[in-house]
Amino acid sequence: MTETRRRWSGGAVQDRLRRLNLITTVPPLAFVGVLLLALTARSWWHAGIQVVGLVAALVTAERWTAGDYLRIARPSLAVTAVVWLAGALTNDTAAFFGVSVVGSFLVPPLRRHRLAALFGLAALVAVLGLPNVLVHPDHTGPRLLQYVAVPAIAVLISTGFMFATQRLFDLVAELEQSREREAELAVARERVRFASDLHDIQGHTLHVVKLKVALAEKLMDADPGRAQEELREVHTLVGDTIVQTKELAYAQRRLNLSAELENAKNLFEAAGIHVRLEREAEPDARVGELLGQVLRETTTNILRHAEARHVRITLGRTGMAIVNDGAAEPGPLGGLSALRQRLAEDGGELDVSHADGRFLTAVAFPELDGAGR
Amino acid sequence: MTTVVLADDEALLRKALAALLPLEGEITVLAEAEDGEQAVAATLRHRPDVLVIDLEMPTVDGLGAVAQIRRARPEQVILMLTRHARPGVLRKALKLGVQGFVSKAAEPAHITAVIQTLHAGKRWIDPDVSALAVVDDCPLTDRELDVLRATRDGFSVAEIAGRLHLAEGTVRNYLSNAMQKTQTRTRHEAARYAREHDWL
Repeated sequence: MTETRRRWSGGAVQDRLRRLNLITTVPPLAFVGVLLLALTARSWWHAGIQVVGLVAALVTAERWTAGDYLRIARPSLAVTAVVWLAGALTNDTAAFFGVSVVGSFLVPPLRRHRLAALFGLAALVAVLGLPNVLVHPDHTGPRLLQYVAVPAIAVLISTGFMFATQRLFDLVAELEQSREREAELAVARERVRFASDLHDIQGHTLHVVKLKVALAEKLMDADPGRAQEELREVHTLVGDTIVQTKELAYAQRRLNLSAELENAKNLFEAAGIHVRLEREAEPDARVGELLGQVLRETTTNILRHAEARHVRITLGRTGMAIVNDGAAEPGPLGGLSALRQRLAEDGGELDVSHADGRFLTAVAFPELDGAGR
Repeated sequence: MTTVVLADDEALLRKALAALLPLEGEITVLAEAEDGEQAVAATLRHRPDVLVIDLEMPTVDGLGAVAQIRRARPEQVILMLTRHARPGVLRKALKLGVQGFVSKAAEPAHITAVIQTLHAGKRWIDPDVSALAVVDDCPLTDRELDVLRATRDGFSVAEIAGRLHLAEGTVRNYLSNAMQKTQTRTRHEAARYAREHDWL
Protein backbone atom coordinates (compact mmCIF):
# COMPACT_ATOMS: atom_id res chain seq x y z
CA MET A 1 0.00 0.00 0.00
CA THR A 2 2.68 2.45 1.10
CA GLU A 3 4.86 1.24 -1.78
CA THR A 4 2.35 2.07 -4.48
CA ARG A 5 1.44 5.36 -2.86
CA ARG A 6 5.04 6.48 -2.67
CA ARG A 7 5.66 5.55 -6.24
CA TRP A 8 2.53 7.33 -7.27
CA SER A 9 3.64 10.55 -5.58
CA GLY A 10 7.11 10.19 -7.13
CA GLY A 11 5.37 9.80 -10.48
CA ALA A 12 3.45 13.01 -9.85
CA VAL A 13 6.73 14.91 -9.31
CA GLN A 14 8.11 13.40 -12.53
CA ASP A 15 4.96 14.40 -14.38
CA ARG A 16 5.32 17.98 -13.28
CA LEU A 17 8.98 18.05 -14.23
CA ARG A 18 8.09 16.64 -17.63
CA ARG A 19 5.45 19.27 -18.23
CA LEU A 20 7.87 22.00 -17.20
CA ASN A 21 10.45 20.63 -19.63
CA LEU A 22 7.88 20.57 -22.39
CA ILE A 23 6.97 24.21 -21.82
CA THR A 24 10.58 25.41 -21.61
CA THR A 25 11.93 23.50 -24.63
CA VAL A 26 9.35 22.97 -27.36
CA PRO A 27 7.92 26.51 -27.81
CA PRO A 28 11.34 28.27 -27.89
CA LEU A 29 12.63 25.71 -30.39
CA ALA A 30 9.56 26.16 -32.56
CA PHE A 31 9.95 29.93 -32.34
CA VAL A 32 13.63 29.89 -33.35
CA GLY A 33 12.90 27.41 -36.14
CA VAL A 34 10.10 29.54 -37.59
CA LEU A 35 12.21 32.69 -37.23
CA LEU A 36 15.08 31.06 -39.13
CA LEU A 37 12.65 29.94 -41.78
CA ALA A 38 11.28 33.45 -42.21
CA LEU A 39 14.71 35.10 -42.31
CA THR A 40 16.72 32.64 -44.41
CA ALA A 41 14.43 30.66 -46.70
CA ARG A 42 14.78 32.02 -50.24
CA SER A 43 12.66 29.44 -52.06
CA TRP A 44 9.85 26.95 -51.49
CA TRP A 45 12.50 24.23 -51.55
CA HIS A 46 14.36 25.88 -48.67
CA ALA A 47 11.14 26.35 -46.73
CA GLY A 48 10.16 22.71 -47.38
CA ILE A 49 13.37 21.12 -46.12
CA GLN A 50 13.58 23.46 -43.12
CA VAL A 51 10.03 22.49 -42.13
CA VAL A 52 10.98 18.80 -42.36
CA GLY A 53 14.04 19.43 -40.16
CA LEU A 54 12.05 21.52 -37.68
CA VAL A 55 9.30 18.90 -37.35
CA ALA A 56 11.89 16.17 -36.70
CA ALA A 57 13.56 18.40 -34.08
CA LEU A 58 10.26 19.18 -32.31
CA VAL A 59 9.15 15.54 -32.29
CA THR A 60 12.50 14.57 -30.75
CA ALA A 61 12.18 17.35 -28.15
CA GLU A 62 8.67 16.26 -27.22
CA ARG A 63 9.73 12.61 -26.89
CA TRP A 64 12.78 13.68 -24.86
CA THR A 65 10.57 15.43 -22.29
CA ALA A 66 8.54 12.21 -22.03
CA GLY A 67 11.77 10.28 -21.38
CA ASP A 68 11.23 8.15 -24.48
CA TYR A 69 13.47 9.74 -27.11
CA LEU A 70 15.70 6.76 -27.97
CA ARG A 71 13.34 5.11 -30.46
CA ILE A 72 12.72 8.35 -32.31
CA ALA A 73 16.21 9.91 -31.97
CA ARG A 74 18.07 7.83 -34.55
CA PRO A 75 15.52 8.18 -37.38
CA SER A 76 15.30 11.90 -36.53
CA LEU A 77 19.07 12.24 -36.71
CA ALA A 78 19.07 10.55 -40.13
CA VAL A 79 16.25 12.79 -41.43
CA THR A 80 17.82 16.00 -40.15
CA ALA A 81 21.25 14.96 -41.46
CA VAL A 82 19.77 14.46 -44.91
CA VAL A 83 17.98 17.82 -44.57
CA TRP A 84 21.28 19.53 -43.74
CA LEU A 85 23.07 17.82 -46.65
CA ALA A 86 20.27 18.88 -49.00
CA GLY A 87 20.40 22.40 -47.56
CA ALA A 88 24.16 22.60 -47.93
CA LEU A 89 23.94 21.54 -51.58
CA THR A 90 21.29 24.20 -52.31
CA ASN A 91 22.80 27.14 -50.41
CA ASP A 92 20.46 26.96 -47.37
CA THR A 93 22.69 27.99 -44.43
CA ALA A 94 19.95 27.52 -41.82
CA ALA A 95 19.18 23.87 -42.67
CA PHE A 96 21.58 22.63 -39.94
CA PHE A 97 19.11 23.78 -37.22
CA GLY A 98 17.35 20.40 -37.14
CA VAL A 99 20.46 18.29 -36.88
CA SER A 100 21.97 20.48 -34.16
CA VAL A 101 18.78 20.22 -32.05
CA VAL A 102 18.39 16.45 -32.47
CA GLY A 103 22.11 15.93 -31.81
CA SER A 104 22.06 17.98 -28.64
CA PHE A 105 19.22 15.82 -27.29
CA LEU A 106 20.90 12.60 -28.34
CA VAL A 107 24.42 13.04 -26.95
CA PRO A 108 24.11 14.16 -23.26
CA PRO A 109 22.09 11.17 -21.98
CA LEU A 110 24.65 8.69 -23.36
CA ARG A 111 26.29 6.66 -20.62
CA ARG A 112 29.81 6.45 -22.11
CA HIS A 113 31.99 8.19 -24.71
CA ARG A 114 29.93 11.32 -24.51
CA LEU A 115 32.83 13.59 -25.42
CA ALA A 116 33.69 11.43 -28.41
CA ALA A 117 30.03 11.48 -29.48
CA LEU A 118 29.97 15.25 -29.09
CA PHE A 119 32.97 15.80 -31.39
CA GLY A 120 31.74 13.08 -33.73
CA LEU A 121 28.46 14.97 -34.06
CA ALA A 122 30.28 18.25 -34.75
CA ALA A 123 32.45 16.47 -37.33
CA LEU A 124 29.34 14.96 -38.96
CA VAL A 125 27.72 18.38 -39.26
CA ALA A 126 30.96 19.80 -40.69
CA VAL A 127 31.32 16.96 -43.19
CA LEU A 128 27.66 17.29 -44.29
CA GLY A 129 28.23 21.02 -44.89
CA LEU A 130 31.46 20.47 -46.83
CA PRO A 131 29.81 19.50 -50.19
CA ASN A 132 28.61 23.12 -50.49
CA VAL A 133 32.25 24.25 -50.69
CA LEU A 134 33.08 21.42 -53.06
CA VAL A 135 30.27 22.04 -55.59
CA HIS A 136 30.53 25.83 -55.52
CA PRO A 137 34.07 26.92 -56.47
CA ASP A 138 33.49 30.63 -55.61
CA HIS A 139 33.95 32.33 -52.18
CA THR A 140 35.66 29.31 -50.63
CA GLY A 141 36.64 31.18 -47.43
CA PRO A 142 33.17 32.53 -46.50
CA ARG A 143 31.54 29.22 -47.55
CA LEU A 144 33.88 27.23 -45.28
CA LEU A 145 32.90 29.57 -42.46
CA GLN A 146 29.14 29.45 -43.19
CA TYR A 147 28.70 25.76 -43.97
CA VAL A 148 31.43 24.05 -41.94
CA ALA A 149 32.80 26.14 -39.06
CA VAL A 150 29.61 27.92 -37.87
CA PRO A 151 27.32 24.81 -37.90
CA ALA A 152 29.99 22.68 -36.18
CA ILE A 153 30.55 25.29 -33.46
CA ALA A 154 26.80 25.87 -33.05
CA VAL A 155 26.30 22.14 -32.51
CA LEU A 156 29.10 22.10 -29.94
CA ILE A 157 27.56 25.03 -28.03
CA SER A 158 23.96 23.80 -28.09
CA THR A 159 24.99 20.30 -27.06
CA GLY A 160 27.23 21.69 -24.32
CA PHE A 161 24.24 23.65 -23.04
CA MET A 162 22.17 20.47 -23.02
CA PHE A 163 24.86 18.76 -20.94
CA ALA A 164 24.24 21.31 -18.21
CA THR A 165 20.46 20.84 -18.44
CA GLN A 166 20.85 17.08 -18.33
CA ARG A 167 22.94 17.39 -15.14
CA LEU A 168 20.20 19.47 -13.57
CA PHE A 169 17.54 16.88 -14.34
CA ASP A 170 19.73 14.05 -13.11
CA LEU A 171 20.18 15.97 -9.89
CA VAL A 172 16.43 16.43 -9.42
CA ALA A 173 15.83 12.73 -10.10
CA GLU A 174 18.56 11.82 -7.62
CA LEU A 175 17.06 14.08 -4.96
CA GLU A 176 13.68 12.50 -5.48
CA GLN A 177 15.20 9.03 -5.19
CA SER A 178 17.12 9.82 -2.03
CA ARG A 179 13.98 11.31 -0.51
CA GLU A 180 12.16 8.03 -1.19
CA ARG A 181 15.04 5.98 0.18
CA GLU A 182 15.16 8.05 3.32
CA ALA A 183 11.46 7.47 3.90
CA GLU A 184 11.92 3.72 3.34
CA LEU A 185 14.85 3.66 5.73
CA ALA A 186 12.87 5.44 8.42
CA VAL A 187 10.07 2.89 8.06
CA ALA A 188 12.55 -0.01 8.24
CA ARG A 189 14.24 1.43 11.35
CA GLU A 190 10.89 1.89 13.04
CA ARG A 191 9.97 -1.71 12.22
CA VAL A 192 13.14 -3.04 13.80
CA ARG A 193 12.63 -0.94 16.92
CA PHE A 194 9.02 -2.07 17.21
CA ALA A 195 9.92 -5.73 16.69
CA SER A 196 12.54 -5.66 19.42
CA ASP A 197 10.20 -3.89 21.85
CA LEU A 198 7.50 -6.45 21.09
CA HIS A 199 9.94 -9.27 21.67
CA ASP A 200 11.04 -7.78 24.99
CA ILE A 201 7.47 -7.59 26.19
CA GLN A 202 6.00 -10.83 24.85
CA GLY A 203 9.01 -13.14 24.52
CA HIS A 204 9.72 -12.99 28.23
CA THR A 205 6.11 -13.56 29.23
CA LEU A 206 5.70 -16.51 26.89
CA HIS A 207 8.71 -18.25 28.43
CA VAL A 208 7.44 -17.75 31.95
CA VAL A 209 3.91 -18.83 30.98
CA LYS A 210 5.24 -21.98 29.33
CA LEU A 211 7.18 -22.93 32.48
CA LYS A 212 4.33 -22.13 34.82
CA VAL A 213 1.79 -24.10 32.77
CA ALA A 214 4.15 -27.10 32.69
CA LEU A 215 4.55 -26.80 36.45
CA ALA A 216 0.80 -26.54 37.02
CA GLU A 217 0.27 -29.64 34.92
CA LYS A 218 2.72 -31.60 37.07
CA LEU A 219 1.20 -30.28 40.29
CA MET A 220 -2.38 -30.92 39.22
CA ASP A 221 -2.70 -34.23 41.07
CA ALA A 222 -0.11 -33.84 43.81
CA ASP A 223 -0.93 -30.31 44.95
CA PRO A 224 -4.08 -28.88 43.29
CA GLY A 225 -3.90 -25.76 45.49
CA ARG A 226 -0.46 -24.77 44.17
CA ALA A 227 -1.46 -25.68 40.64
CA GLN A 228 -4.36 -23.26 40.93
CA GLU A 229 -2.02 -20.61 42.32
CA GLU A 230 0.33 -21.04 39.35
CA LEU A 231 -2.56 -20.76 36.88
CA ARG A 232 -3.77 -17.58 38.56
CA GLU A 233 -0.29 -16.08 38.20
CA VAL A 234 -0.27 -17.04 34.53
CA HIS A 235 -3.60 -15.28 34.12
CA THR A 236 -2.30 -12.06 35.73
CA LEU A 237 0.93 -12.16 33.77
CA VAL A 238 -0.85 -12.56 30.45
CA GLY A 239 -3.25 -9.74 31.36
CA ASP A 240 -0.33 -7.39 32.10
CA THR A 241 1.33 -8.33 28.84
CA ILE A 242 -1.82 -7.57 26.88
CA VAL A 243 -1.93 -4.10 28.47
CA GLN A 244 1.77 -3.47 27.72
CA THR A 245 1.41 -4.63 24.13
CA LYS A 246 -1.52 -2.31 23.63
CA GLU A 247 0.45 0.61 25.05
CA LEU A 248 3.29 -0.22 22.69
CA ALA A 249 1.00 -0.26 19.69
CA TYR A 250 -0.61 3.05 20.57
CA ALA A 251 2.37 4.87 22.12
CA GLN A 252 2.85 6.96 18.99
CA ARG A 253 -0.82 7.69 18.65
CA ARG A 254 -1.10 11.17 20.06
CA LEU A 255 -2.93 13.91 18.30
CA ASN A 256 -3.05 17.58 19.07
CA LEU A 257 -5.97 18.95 21.04
CA SER A 258 -7.71 20.43 17.99
CA ALA A 259 -7.80 17.05 16.25
CA GLU A 260 -8.97 15.34 19.45
CA LEU A 261 -11.77 17.88 19.82
CA GLU A 262 -12.85 17.21 16.27
CA ASN A 263 -12.88 13.45 16.89
CA ALA A 264 -14.78 13.81 20.16
CA LYS A 265 -17.33 15.96 18.33
CA ASN A 266 -17.70 13.31 15.61
CA LEU A 267 -18.18 10.57 18.23
CA PHE A 268 -20.90 12.54 20.02
CA GLU A 269 -22.69 13.25 16.78
CA ALA A 270 -22.51 9.56 15.82
CA ALA A 271 -24.19 8.73 19.12
CA GLY A 272 -26.97 11.19 18.30
CA ILE A 273 -25.75 13.86 20.74
CA HIS A 274 -25.82 17.46 19.60
CA VAL A 275 -22.48 19.22 20.10
CA ARG A 276 -21.58 22.88 20.25
CA LEU A 277 -17.92 23.75 20.16
CA GLU A 278 -16.88 27.23 21.24
CA ARG A 279 -13.29 28.32 20.85
CA GLU A 280 -12.66 31.47 22.78
CA ALA A 281 -8.91 31.18 22.26
CA GLU A 282 -6.29 28.74 21.09
CA PRO A 283 -5.15 26.68 24.07
CA ASP A 284 -1.66 27.23 25.41
CA ALA A 285 0.73 24.58 24.08
CA ARG A 286 1.83 23.64 27.60
CA VAL A 287 -1.63 22.50 28.68
CA GLY A 288 -2.81 20.91 25.42
CA GLU A 289 -1.86 17.38 26.46
CA LEU A 290 -3.61 17.64 29.84
CA LEU A 291 -6.72 19.21 28.36
CA GLY A 292 -6.72 16.32 25.88
CA GLN A 293 -6.75 13.81 28.74
CA VAL A 294 -9.68 15.56 30.40
CA LEU A 295 -11.51 15.62 27.08
CA ARG A 296 -10.98 11.88 26.53
CA GLU A 297 -12.13 11.01 30.03
CA THR A 298 -15.18 13.26 29.84
CA THR A 299 -16.12 11.98 26.39
CA THR A 300 -15.98 8.43 27.68
CA ASN A 301 -18.13 9.30 30.68
CA ILE A 302 -20.75 11.11 28.64
CA LEU A 303 -20.97 8.31 26.07
CA ARG A 304 -21.24 5.71 28.78
CA HIS A 305 -23.25 7.02 31.71
CA ALA A 306 -25.33 9.92 30.56
CA GLU A 307 -28.44 10.02 28.44
CA ALA A 308 -27.11 13.23 26.99
CA ARG A 309 -28.83 15.09 24.14
CA HIS A 310 -26.65 18.19 24.17
CA VAL A 311 -22.98 18.77 24.91
CA ARG A 312 -21.25 22.15 24.92
CA ILE A 313 -17.47 22.34 24.86
CA THR A 314 -15.85 25.71 25.52
CA LEU A 315 -12.15 26.06 24.93
CA GLY A 316 -10.08 28.93 26.30
CA ARG A 317 -6.38 29.70 26.34
CA THR A 318 -5.77 28.06 29.72
CA GLY A 319 -8.87 26.03 30.33
CA MET A 320 -11.79 24.04 29.04
CA ALA A 321 -15.37 23.52 30.14
CA ILE A 322 -17.68 20.71 29.08
CA VAL A 323 -21.38 20.80 29.93
CA ASN A 324 -23.78 17.97 29.17
CA ASP A 325 -27.41 17.38 29.97
CA GLY A 326 -29.16 14.11 30.74
CA ALA A 327 -26.89 13.39 33.69
CA ALA A 328 -28.31 11.22 36.45
CA GLU A 329 -27.13 11.66 40.03
CA PRO A 330 -23.34 11.97 40.02
CA GLY A 331 -21.72 8.58 40.42
CA PRO A 332 -18.17 7.93 41.51
CA LEU A 333 -15.77 10.06 39.50
CA GLY A 334 -13.55 7.13 38.53
CA GLY A 335 -11.01 8.22 35.96
CA LEU A 336 -11.60 11.90 36.64
CA SER A 337 -10.44 11.75 40.26
CA ALA A 338 -7.16 10.18 39.15
CA LEU A 339 -6.85 12.95 36.58
CA ARG A 340 -7.49 15.60 39.24
CA GLN A 341 -4.32 14.46 41.01
CA ARG A 342 -2.25 14.69 37.85
CA LEU A 343 -3.66 18.12 37.02
CA ALA A 344 -2.90 19.40 40.53
CA GLU A 345 0.76 18.45 40.05
CA ASP A 346 0.88 20.77 37.04
CA GLY A 347 -1.02 23.60 38.71
CA GLY A 348 -4.37 22.69 37.18
CA GLU A 349 -7.76 22.65 38.88
CA LEU A 350 -10.55 20.28 37.98
CA ASP A 351 -14.11 21.20 38.91
CA VAL A 352 -17.10 18.97 38.48
CA SER A 353 -20.61 20.00 39.44
CA HIS A 354 -24.06 18.64 38.91
CA ALA A 355 -27.33 20.57 38.90
CA ASP A 356 -30.74 20.07 37.25
CA GLY A 357 -29.54 17.07 35.26
CA ARG A 358 -26.64 19.09 33.88
CA PHE A 359 -23.12 18.01 34.45
CA LEU A 360 -20.20 20.45 34.24
CA THR A 361 -16.58 19.44 33.92
CA ALA A 362 -14.23 22.41 34.03
CA VAL A 363 -10.46 22.49 34.04
CA ALA A 364 -8.37 25.63 34.51
CA PHE A 365 -4.73 26.56 34.97
CA PRO A 366 -4.95 29.82 36.98
CA GLU A 367 -1.18 30.24 37.45
CA LEU A 368 -0.56 30.04 33.74
CA ASP A 369 -3.27 32.60 33.18
CA GLY A 370 -1.54 35.05 35.50
CA ALA A 371 1.85 34.48 33.92
CA GLY A 372 0.44 35.03 30.45
CA ARG A 373 -0.76 38.53 31.17
CA MET B 1 -31.77 -14.72 32.83
CA THR B 2 -30.28 -13.00 29.78
CA THR B 3 -30.18 -14.75 26.42
CA VAL B 4 -27.38 -14.08 23.95
CA VAL B 5 -26.19 -15.06 20.49
CA LEU B 6 -22.41 -15.20 20.24
CA ALA B 7 -20.77 -14.37 16.91
CA ASP B 8 -17.00 -14.65 16.51
CA ASP B 9 -14.93 -16.27 13.78
CA GLU B 10 -12.17 -17.24 16.23
CA ALA B 11 -13.45 -20.63 17.36
CA LEU B 12 -11.14 -20.90 20.38
CA LEU B 13 -12.26 -17.58 21.80
CA ARG B 14 -15.92 -18.11 20.98
CA LYS B 15 -16.02 -21.54 22.59
CA ALA B 16 -14.20 -20.22 25.66
CA LEU B 17 -16.69 -17.35 26.00
CA ALA B 18 -19.65 -19.67 25.38
CA ALA B 19 -18.41 -21.88 28.21
CA LEU B 20 -17.45 -19.06 30.58
CA LEU B 21 -20.40 -16.65 30.24
CA PRO B 22 -23.02 -19.04 31.72
CA LEU B 23 -20.59 -19.80 34.56
CA GLU B 24 -20.06 -16.12 35.36
CA GLY B 25 -23.68 -15.04 35.55
CA GLU B 26 -27.26 -15.59 34.54
CA ILE B 27 -26.60 -15.94 30.84
CA THR B 28 -27.83 -18.48 28.30
CA VAL B 29 -26.06 -18.80 24.96
CA LEU B 30 -28.82 -19.55 22.42
CA ALA B 31 -26.56 -19.95 19.41
CA GLU B 32 -23.05 -19.41 18.13
CA ALA B 33 -22.13 -17.99 14.73
CA GLU B 34 -18.77 -18.00 13.02
CA ASP B 35 -19.28 -15.26 10.46
CA GLY B 36 -21.44 -12.24 9.77
CA GLU B 37 -24.03 -14.05 7.65
CA GLN B 38 -24.59 -16.72 10.30
CA ALA B 39 -24.81 -13.99 12.93
CA VAL B 40 -27.63 -12.27 11.01
CA ALA B 41 -29.52 -15.55 10.52
CA ALA B 42 -29.07 -16.71 14.14
CA THR B 43 -30.14 -13.34 15.58
CA LEU B 44 -33.28 -13.17 13.46
CA ARG B 45 -34.21 -16.78 14.33
CA HIS B 46 -33.43 -16.77 18.08
CA ARG B 47 -34.20 -13.13 18.96
CA PRO B 48 -31.70 -12.95 21.82
CA ASP B 49 -31.79 -10.24 24.49
CA VAL B 50 -28.27 -9.26 23.51
CA LEU B 51 -26.23 -10.04 20.42
CA VAL B 52 -22.52 -10.31 21.26
CA ILE B 53 -20.65 -9.87 18.01
CA ASP B 54 -17.01 -9.65 17.02
CA LEU B 55 -16.08 -6.67 14.88
CA GLU B 56 -13.49 -8.41 12.74
CA MET B 57 -15.00 -11.35 10.83
CA PRO B 58 -14.73 -12.79 7.32
CA THR B 59 -17.36 -12.33 4.56
CA VAL B 60 -19.72 -9.90 6.32
CA ASP B 61 -17.90 -8.14 9.19
CA GLY B 62 -19.47 -7.08 12.49
CA LEU B 63 -20.55 -3.65 11.23
CA GLY B 64 -22.09 -5.12 8.07
CA ALA B 65 -24.00 -7.74 10.06
CA VAL B 66 -25.23 -5.10 12.53
CA ALA B 67 -26.49 -2.94 9.67
CA GLN B 68 -28.50 -5.89 8.29
CA ILE B 69 -29.89 -6.84 11.70
CA ARG B 70 -30.90 -3.21 12.41
CA ARG B 71 -33.12 -3.23 9.33
CA ALA B 72 -35.08 -6.29 10.51
CA ARG B 73 -34.88 -5.77 14.29
CA PRO B 74 -34.32 -2.08 15.12
CA GLU B 75 -34.72 -2.79 18.82
CA GLN B 76 -31.99 -5.45 19.00
CA VAL B 77 -29.46 -4.76 21.79
CA ILE B 78 -25.93 -5.26 20.51
CA LEU B 79 -22.58 -5.60 22.26
CA MET B 80 -19.59 -5.35 19.99
CA LEU B 81 -16.30 -7.03 20.82
CA THR B 82 -13.10 -5.80 19.28
CA ARG B 83 -9.46 -6.78 19.37
CA HIS B 84 -8.09 -3.48 18.09
CA ALA B 85 -10.72 -1.05 16.93
CA ARG B 86 -9.60 0.57 13.70
CA PRO B 87 -9.90 4.36 13.62
CA GLY B 88 -13.44 5.42 12.90
CA VAL B 89 -15.01 2.09 13.88
CA LEU B 90 -16.50 3.27 17.17
CA ARG B 91 -17.99 6.26 15.35
CA LYS B 92 -19.59 3.98 12.73
CA ALA B 93 -20.83 1.54 15.36
CA LEU B 94 -22.45 4.34 17.38
CA LYS B 95 -24.15 5.54 14.21
CA LEU B 96 -25.60 2.05 13.77
CA GLY B 97 -26.94 2.24 17.31
CA VAL B 98 -24.61 -0.30 18.90
CA GLN B 99 -25.13 0.00 22.67
CA GLY B 100 -21.89 -1.52 23.92
CA PHE B 101 -18.26 -1.73 22.97
CA VAL B 102 -15.86 -3.96 24.86
CA SER B 103 -12.30 -5.04 24.25
CA LYS B 104 -11.88 -8.72 23.50
CA ALA B 105 -9.09 -8.84 26.03
CA ALA B 106 -11.54 -8.00 28.83
CA GLU B 107 -12.17 -10.48 31.65
CA PRO B 108 -15.19 -12.77 31.06
CA ALA B 109 -16.68 -11.42 34.29
CA HIS B 110 -16.50 -7.91 32.86
CA ILE B 111 -18.14 -8.98 29.60
CA THR B 112 -20.90 -10.66 31.62
CA ALA B 113 -21.46 -7.49 33.64
CA VAL B 114 -21.64 -5.38 30.46
CA ILE B 115 -24.14 -7.79 28.86
CA GLN B 116 -26.38 -7.35 31.88
CA THR B 117 -25.90 -3.56 31.86
CA LEU B 118 -27.00 -3.41 28.23
CA HIS B 119 -29.95 -5.72 28.91
CA ALA B 120 -31.03 -3.24 31.59
CA GLY B 121 -31.27 -0.60 28.83
CA LYS B 122 -28.01 1.25 29.45
CA ARG B 123 -25.02 1.94 27.25
CA TRP B 124 -21.47 0.81 27.93
CA ILE B 125 -18.29 1.72 26.13
CA ASP B 126 -14.98 0.61 27.57
CA PRO B 127 -12.96 3.70 28.52
CA ASP B 128 -9.87 2.58 26.60
CA VAL B 129 -11.94 2.04 23.44
CA SER B 130 -13.51 5.50 23.51
CA ALA B 131 -10.30 7.26 24.60
CA LEU B 132 -8.54 5.56 21.72
CA ALA B 133 -11.25 6.68 19.33
CA VAL B 134 -10.62 10.28 20.41
CA VAL B 135 -6.85 10.12 19.83
CA ASP B 136 -6.73 7.67 16.97
CA ASP B 137 -9.37 8.69 14.50
CA CYS B 138 -8.83 10.93 11.50
CA PRO B 139 -10.44 14.33 12.17
CA LEU B 140 -10.23 15.40 8.53
CA THR B 141 -13.12 15.20 6.08
CA ASP B 142 -12.77 13.44 2.72
CA ARG B 143 -12.44 16.75 0.88
CA GLU B 144 -9.78 17.99 3.29
CA LEU B 145 -7.89 14.75 2.68
CA ASP B 146 -8.21 15.25 -1.10
CA VAL B 147 -6.62 18.70 -1.01
CA LEU B 148 -3.84 17.49 1.30
CA ARG B 149 -3.15 14.56 -1.02
CA ALA B 150 -2.79 16.97 -3.94
CA THR B 151 -0.62 19.26 -1.79
CA ARG B 152 1.67 16.37 -0.97
CA ASP B 153 2.07 15.71 -4.70
CA GLY B 154 3.33 19.27 -5.10
CA PHE B 155 0.36 20.92 -6.78
CA SER B 156 -0.40 24.59 -6.30
CA VAL B 157 -3.74 25.84 -5.01
CA ALA B 158 -4.84 26.77 -8.54
CA GLU B 159 -3.87 23.32 -9.84
CA ILE B 160 -5.69 21.58 -6.96
CA ALA B 161 -8.80 23.62 -7.73
CA GLY B 162 -8.58 22.54 -11.37
CA ARG B 163 -8.04 18.87 -10.58
CA LEU B 164 -10.83 18.61 -8.00
CA HIS B 165 -13.23 20.86 -9.94
CA LEU B 166 -13.52 23.30 -7.04
CA ALA B 167 -13.21 27.06 -6.74
CA GLU B 168 -9.85 28.29 -5.47
CA GLY B 169 -11.53 29.91 -2.48
CA THR B 170 -13.10 26.57 -1.55
CA VAL B 171 -9.74 24.83 -1.78
CA ARG B 172 -8.24 27.52 0.47
CA ASN B 173 -11.04 26.94 2.98
CA TYR B 174 -10.43 23.19 3.04
CA LEU B 175 -6.70 23.79 3.46
CA SER B 176 -7.19 26.23 6.29
CA ASN B 177 -9.57 23.80 8.06
CA ALA B 178 -6.99 21.05 7.67
CA MET B 179 -4.23 23.31 8.98
CA GLN B 180 -6.38 24.29 11.93
CA LYS B 181 -7.19 20.68 12.82
CA THR B 182 -3.58 19.56 12.51
CA GLN B 183 -2.26 22.69 14.27
CA THR B 184 0.16 23.43 11.45
CA ARG B 185 1.12 26.71 9.82
CA THR B 186 1.48 25.76 6.17
CA ARG B 187 -0.44 23.40 3.93
CA HIS B 188 2.74 21.40 3.37
CA GLU B 189 3.15 20.87 7.12
CA ALA B 190 -0.49 19.80 7.27
CA ALA B 191 0.07 17.28 4.46
CA ARG B 192 3.13 15.91 6.25
CA TYR B 193 1.20 15.64 9.54
CA ALA B 194 -1.59 13.75 7.78
CA ARG B 195 0.89 11.48 6.05
CA GLU B 196 2.68 10.70 9.31
CA HIS B 197 -0.64 9.71 10.85
CA ASP B 198 -1.40 7.49 7.87
CA TRP B 199 -4.52 9.39 6.88
CA LEU B 200 -3.67 9.98 3.23
